[in-house]
Amino acid sequence: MHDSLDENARFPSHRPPVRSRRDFLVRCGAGFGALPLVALLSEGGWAFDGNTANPSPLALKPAHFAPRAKHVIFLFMDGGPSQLDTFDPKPKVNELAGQPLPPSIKRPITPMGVSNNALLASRRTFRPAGRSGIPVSDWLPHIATCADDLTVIRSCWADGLNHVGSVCQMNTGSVLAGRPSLGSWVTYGLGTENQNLPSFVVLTDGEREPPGGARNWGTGFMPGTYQGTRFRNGAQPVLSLQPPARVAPEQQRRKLELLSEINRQHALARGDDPELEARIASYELAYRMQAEAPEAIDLAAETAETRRLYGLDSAPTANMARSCLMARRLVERGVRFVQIYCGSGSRWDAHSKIEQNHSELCRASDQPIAGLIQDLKRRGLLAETLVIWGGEFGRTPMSEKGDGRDHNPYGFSMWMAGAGLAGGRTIGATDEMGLFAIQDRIHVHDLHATILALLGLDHKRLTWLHNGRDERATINGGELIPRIYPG
Amino acid sequence: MRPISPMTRIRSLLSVVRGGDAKSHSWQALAVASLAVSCTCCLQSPTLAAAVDVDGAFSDADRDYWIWQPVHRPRVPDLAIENECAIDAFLRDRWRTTGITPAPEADRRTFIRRATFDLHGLPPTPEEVAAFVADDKPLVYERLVDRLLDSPRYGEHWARYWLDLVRFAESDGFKSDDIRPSAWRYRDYVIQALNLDKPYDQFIVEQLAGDELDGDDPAVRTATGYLLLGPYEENGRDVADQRSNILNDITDVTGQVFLGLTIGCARCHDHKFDPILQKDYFRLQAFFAALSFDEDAPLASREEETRYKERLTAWEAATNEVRKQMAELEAPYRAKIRAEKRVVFPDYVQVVLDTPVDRRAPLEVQMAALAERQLIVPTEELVKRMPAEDRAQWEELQTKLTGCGVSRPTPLPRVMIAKDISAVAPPTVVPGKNVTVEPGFLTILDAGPARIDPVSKPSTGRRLALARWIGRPDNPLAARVAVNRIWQQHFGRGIVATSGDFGAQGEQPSHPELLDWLAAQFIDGGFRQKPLHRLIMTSAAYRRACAAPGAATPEQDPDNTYWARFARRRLSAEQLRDAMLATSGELNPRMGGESARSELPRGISAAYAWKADADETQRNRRSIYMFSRRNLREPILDVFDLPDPHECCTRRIETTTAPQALQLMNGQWSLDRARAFAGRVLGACGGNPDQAVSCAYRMAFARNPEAHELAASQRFFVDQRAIIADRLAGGIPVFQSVLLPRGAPPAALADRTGAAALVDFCHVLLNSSEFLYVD
Repeated sequence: MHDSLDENARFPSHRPPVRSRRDFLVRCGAGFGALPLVALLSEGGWAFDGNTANPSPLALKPAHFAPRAKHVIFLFMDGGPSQLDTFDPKPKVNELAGQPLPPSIKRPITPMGVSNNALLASRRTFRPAGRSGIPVSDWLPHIATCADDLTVIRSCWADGLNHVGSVCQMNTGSVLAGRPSLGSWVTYGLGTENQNLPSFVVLTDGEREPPGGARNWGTGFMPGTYQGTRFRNGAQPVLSLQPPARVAPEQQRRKLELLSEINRQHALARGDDPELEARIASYELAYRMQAEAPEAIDLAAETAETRRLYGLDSAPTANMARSCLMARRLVERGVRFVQIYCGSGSRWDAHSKIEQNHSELCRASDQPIAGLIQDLKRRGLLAETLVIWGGEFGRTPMSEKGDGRDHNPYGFSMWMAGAGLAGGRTIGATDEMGLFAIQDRIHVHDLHATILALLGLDHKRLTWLHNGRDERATINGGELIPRIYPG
Repeated sequence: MRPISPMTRIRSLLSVVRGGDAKSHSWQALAVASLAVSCTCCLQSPTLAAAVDVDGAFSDADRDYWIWQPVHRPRVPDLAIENECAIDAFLRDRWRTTGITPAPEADRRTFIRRATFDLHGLPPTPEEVAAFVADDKPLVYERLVDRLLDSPRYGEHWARYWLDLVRFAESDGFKSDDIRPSAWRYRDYVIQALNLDKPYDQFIVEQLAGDELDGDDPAVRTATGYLLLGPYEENGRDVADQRSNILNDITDVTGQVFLGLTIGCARCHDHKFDPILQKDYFRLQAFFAALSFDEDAPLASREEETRYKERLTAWEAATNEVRKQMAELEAPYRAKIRAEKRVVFPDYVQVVLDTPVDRRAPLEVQMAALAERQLIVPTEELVKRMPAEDRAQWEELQTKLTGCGVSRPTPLPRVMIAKDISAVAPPTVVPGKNVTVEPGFLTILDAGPARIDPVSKPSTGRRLALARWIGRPDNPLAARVAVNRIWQQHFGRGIVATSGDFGAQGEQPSHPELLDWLAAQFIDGGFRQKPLHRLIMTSAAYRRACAAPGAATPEQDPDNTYWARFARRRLSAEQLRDAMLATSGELNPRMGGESARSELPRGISAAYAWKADADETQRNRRSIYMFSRRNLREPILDVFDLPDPHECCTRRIETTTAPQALQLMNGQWSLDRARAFAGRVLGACGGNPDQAVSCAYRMAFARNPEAHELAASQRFFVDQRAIIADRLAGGIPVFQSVLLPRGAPPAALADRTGAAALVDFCHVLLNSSEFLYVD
């Protein structure tokens, strides 16, 4: 009940109370020297890197060429969903089920050594969906209704055999850790539209993190400024976002005032050191973030109809629905890159009992994902948002343990929607077993190059000098997928 | 029947396909195909002549490039003043030509804070500051620097720079991110080596080839941990790929750390900018070709080991029968589990494992060792698989074993060390070219094959040859790279600003003669670092103020290229954490040993989170002793730019971000330090606000507050007391508890409102720029 009280009325002080964030900023900003106060107060204005001679690291930066999309929502199916049971039907596998791979197909290395195992039939039925008629598995009836928005890429391939390296590669381009994630590259390349929120946000559908943890949204050798921020549910989405309950808001504000006063005196005595001014500004930005971040992910304002659209009030879909709806709210507020881990903690990893595993995960994610696409579309956001679906790899046609499938980085499916892409298409193909990508093969670096291009960034020009090398997101590979870009 | 050579066997086996590539691979090609080649050179056109043809005919421009020239001791420019340090003469020479006026000397309080943070990573105590400011005896700066260098705090701080370079961490990385329980011994080795001022050439030899030296000094064996610091994938089934990742990693890191070169660029082709041939990359890698590991090496003297073995033999004799029965009982389960684990490996690994141990070629021995690491069957796993009957029997035998009367000797301390697989190394082949290379140095410096002297151990002696070459006084790279890094740590930027790249793509030295003069001093002084610190820190350059009217302003020299002023720096992550603990009076100065585990904030994901030490004093140890995990970094250190331990970091990036402010202002850890700090203030000066303010200022900044600061503090206390009193009087239970000082005398807490306000005040000081920055 006390939440509704006016804090200032409840905690009178001997100084005029701070009425608003703006009031606070005006007060704190009064003595900023070289710092442009107007810019500080304006939306999407000033950010800092400790050197006013250089543009700020998070300020908006022009793209290399006209962007097709401003935002990315990457729906990461953590653990590797089966392409054979979702978007890449292979009747031949069912025909030969119980037999080993035909001799015409090479035996690949797989982590669980299944290359000589019998083929496992898919129990899914595929129906042509939408006007375009692209086949979508009966596990995904809601996504099937969005078929005409999807560009399904059936010929993806990657380098890793195991989860951690493969998740790492899908995020950073390399199976070996230590490089910046794609979201970091995008933040570095384009800056952010909203200085009060992180530019790159990571959501998970449970408490578990993907294998490798936070380094999947880390910056590797780039400054931490560009790293992804994991948002959790609740009032404290970001670590240490709010002071503990035992510190009254008024008390906190007075502390910040004293800090600002002390720091301004300190800076004044030292001439115009932009780094010291940036430090002062960092506290103000933190204060604004404190207010804005919880609001951004507060779903209370969403209508019942929207909640239903995502499946927010139904137990199996609630987790993923929350993430998808948060993603839409974040994108609306200018967040550049949102990554949602679905089945976070390798839960799509169906080495056995794939029927049970995948049917649960498809059920949990199908409606929320379709809801997201529809919601973005009706709000006019889909045109400027690139939605990507996929995992770190796919799964083998060969059986593991009789009812599961092993990892398959040699050929798997992903899809894209939004960003003005013509939907209802498939690109590329795997062999008749769905094992190796054989036509229009698309490596992770190609995907990354294309995603960057859709955002207006040339992957060959977006570089960061590290230990003497101009590093780029695509390492030394990456070709644009011609049917997607230029399209 | 003619035996098939192991290489042929492996080649024929490896007609393995990755991706849809139709052509089959030799194992080398396979290894290379799967590499993440971190090189973008291919996209750029050379900016400097680096016309290197396949035979390594270098252009004159290549050969003339400064880094390949021997270090010579340049003439010191004329000294202006008596006793002027040569460093200052070199710097002054450049001001004359650029018209820059240097900043005046910093005051003594500023200097001792700068020097103490610089050498110890900690703030000076108020008493140390007072004594130094009042010191009127001669050589006051020299004596201060000597005192700081003699303290073991020095090694604790400077080791961190080395650990950044060698990407030190105490876990494997990858998915499991398994803990490396003895990794801390390498960290302690580095700290000790620095405190002993071990000559740098010896430091190099011990880390690269300590196992190949005569003798059995445990410290020296521990040093080879350097070779094993890279990430390791516990389920990398493609062990040929794993082997090449390991070798590439150590080749790249060694080139960067010791030679200051980006030799990784030459992995797939001749270096586009520097005269480093692809062949050179593999000539260097060949020094490591026989590399393997001993996960469980005893860390004891020969005597201790002998004594241990005697006792072990006695125990074994007494338990022979029981152990035999246990082994028999376990055998079928062990075999079954092993077979299950083994089946997942690709065919070529199966063949290697099927080859009798005594018939394995060196490469097969290496691959088998990597596979065997994944085939270990832990006893718990085995017992779990036994049916009840067998398990009961096993447990009975286990009871007999422990109750046999002879106790099993306590195992010797263990450490993971590097070793060669045998005295014969596997061949090193340039991928794609099918050219076998022998170990050799950079062709531009020494085109012939390296001379490898045999060593007394069953080892190739290759790494020792490499280490000795790097550390040779006439190696033009090692000393320059090392002194440049030392300069960088003192001044914030190296004389070569790109301290990890001395090649043509890096920046050129701003003061090449000074760099060479320092390198010559270093070499002639027997590669000892401490005299170099002393030389630098007693220069006038090191004593300059950060900026002052009339001095070189940032506009004149924005990057401070001429060192006419001192560069203000934010505390590093470790310095900040340690300074907060020192100021709060909680810092536990205990040195060395197993890493301590801090308490993680709530909301950190469980997969890689660690359990905090129950003993709080453990959690308050210096940052260098805090557990460092690849997949989860300590949040407070992480947010202040702790580098990613997957990559060699030659110079940290400094950021100024809102999450830093959030953690320092809202984080529980930071608030707890403020509470302890307030408790310390109360204990020392009592609760009188004015006294408390002065006391807190002295503890945090080693100075008394100015009048206007006192006034601002008084206003703060008035406001804050009122806010807190209102809150306490408000009758809302959750607000009844306020953050109070910790560790204060109970009487000092009688005034709860004042005590809570003091916590807030202390917290503000810990957040202040004066605390966070060093002038």
